[in-house]
Amino acid sequence: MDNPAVTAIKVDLSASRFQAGVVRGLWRLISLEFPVLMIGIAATEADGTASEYFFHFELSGYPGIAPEVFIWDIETSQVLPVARRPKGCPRVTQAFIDWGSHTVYRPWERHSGAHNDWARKYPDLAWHSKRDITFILEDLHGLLNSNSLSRSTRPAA
Amino acid sequence: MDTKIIIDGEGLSDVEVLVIPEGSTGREVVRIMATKAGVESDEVLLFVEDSDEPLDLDLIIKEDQAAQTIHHVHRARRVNVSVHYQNEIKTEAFSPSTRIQVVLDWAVSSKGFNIDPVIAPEMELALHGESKELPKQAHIGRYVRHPHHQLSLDLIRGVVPNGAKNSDG
Repeated sequence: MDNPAVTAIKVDLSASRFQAGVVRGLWRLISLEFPVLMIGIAATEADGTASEYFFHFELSGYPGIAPEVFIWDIETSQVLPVARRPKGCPRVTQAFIDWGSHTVYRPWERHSGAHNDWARKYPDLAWHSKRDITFILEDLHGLLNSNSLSRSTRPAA
Repeated sequence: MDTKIIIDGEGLSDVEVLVIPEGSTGREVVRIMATKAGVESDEVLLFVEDSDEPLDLDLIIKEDQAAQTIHHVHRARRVNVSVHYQNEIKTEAFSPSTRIQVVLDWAVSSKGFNIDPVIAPEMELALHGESKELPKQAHIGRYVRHPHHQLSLDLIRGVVPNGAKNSDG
């Protein structure tokens, strides 16, 4: 019998929401070797150049258990060194801070969400079993491209 | 062979995949979506994402075209968007196929509220009077029902969850 977590993630990856992101060039599937899913997400650097970051999702117990998510160096198969993580406003630097669990620091993440009462404080960003993987990808893509907003504007003369 | 087309639009809570026979025109897409929504198909327009003008419904939807973009169906040709920030309101008309991201770009720009570039990356849009950040890839037409071609939004500071210490400190 199929692992329900495998079935759930395959449903998410075939869903229109995930596919719409692929069509738009927001993210791409790198690999799924359960329990690890690897996704590349398009980014905008502070100088306006386009780039891509990779994310390692550990999906045991998915979707009942939140994914464990690392920003990843796919060449070395390790967590991306801090010096090479995305730069930008406090929302970005906080999300990719090197903290105790070394995971992405957002309320939907398995370890981050379990501390500081985040599930109650940030219900719109917290994980629950009705979420799908695209919910996380949309949040990460928004963070990784927030630098484009500072390029949309200039201080008043 | 069938063609898959991803659609956002009036009355939808999220994007949907529509499968149409190869060689179908935009008119066939509109007919199917209008039937699902229970509206007259001759009222419905078909757009490409972020485009100002609707498509010619007699044109065939090609596989490579469908694979590269998201489409949008709506009965409005333009949506009057009002964005509230502090005590000001800025308004602009957009196509219903415009993504929230495009409206946000406009709202923070010098054409909108000319937000300080240091703060601009933290800004989000929410429905007026609400605090939930709208998905940036959603089309604004999703939140507008004919015949009310108006959308009222708030420009808000996004949530910055924090509290962790660096692992080295």
